[in-house]
Amino acid sequence: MVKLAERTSTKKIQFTTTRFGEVEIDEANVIRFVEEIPGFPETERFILIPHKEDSPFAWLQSVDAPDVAFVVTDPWLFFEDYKPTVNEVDLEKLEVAGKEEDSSNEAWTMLAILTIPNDPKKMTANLKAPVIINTRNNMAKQVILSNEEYTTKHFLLKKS
Amino acid sequence: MLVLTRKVNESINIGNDIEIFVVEIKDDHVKIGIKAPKDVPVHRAEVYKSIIEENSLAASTPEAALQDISEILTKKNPRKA
Repeated sequence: MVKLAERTSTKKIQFTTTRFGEVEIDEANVIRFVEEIPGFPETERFILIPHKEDSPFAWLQSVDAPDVAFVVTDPWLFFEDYKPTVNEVDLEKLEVAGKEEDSSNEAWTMLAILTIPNDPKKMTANLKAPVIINTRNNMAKQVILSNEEYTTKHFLLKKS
Repeated sequence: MLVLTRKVNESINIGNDIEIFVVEIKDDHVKIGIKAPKDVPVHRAEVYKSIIEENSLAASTPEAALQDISEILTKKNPRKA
């Protein structure tokens, strides 16, 4: 299940989305992109909405742009051998580089963005440019991996 | 656009800390080496373009699509559902 730890502060924010209507969440749960998502300069704030309790998917919904939402998943659920090589500078920007304990899996989480065409069996994961979220301060970035073997389109389901 | 002619093993400086080398020329392929500070992102031009394209496609997924997916997964692959 794709989920971040629930945080609470005193401030709630409300915004409109095209898919989920009016949403109210605690501001402490907002994910902030430290650099723009390529193609989406107008929005830096997102929230993660789990799809269902037992679903491997979640929606990364923009707070600033009602119609912008990405379906995301834990890439290792579908690609067990996924070995992303993340640029050190990207980890520094997200404040998860440096000390060894900061580079541990608990400090950040990685999500793959999915593209779901009309025939959902042909859905693909972008393994070249996953999203990394610092799970302690909710800073995020869509990073470009140096791995040459990954592209923006990998089929999730094998033909059967 | 500035156009310079270089031979194999020759290079070009961009600013003080970026250097571009011609490493090998074979048929119509040129192998290029890049020395740049680690905070300067270096990618093949088509990579960034393909990420913008893929993000645009991904961002317009209708809500119902995920419902269909969940059904496919439950039927085909209960392990991952």
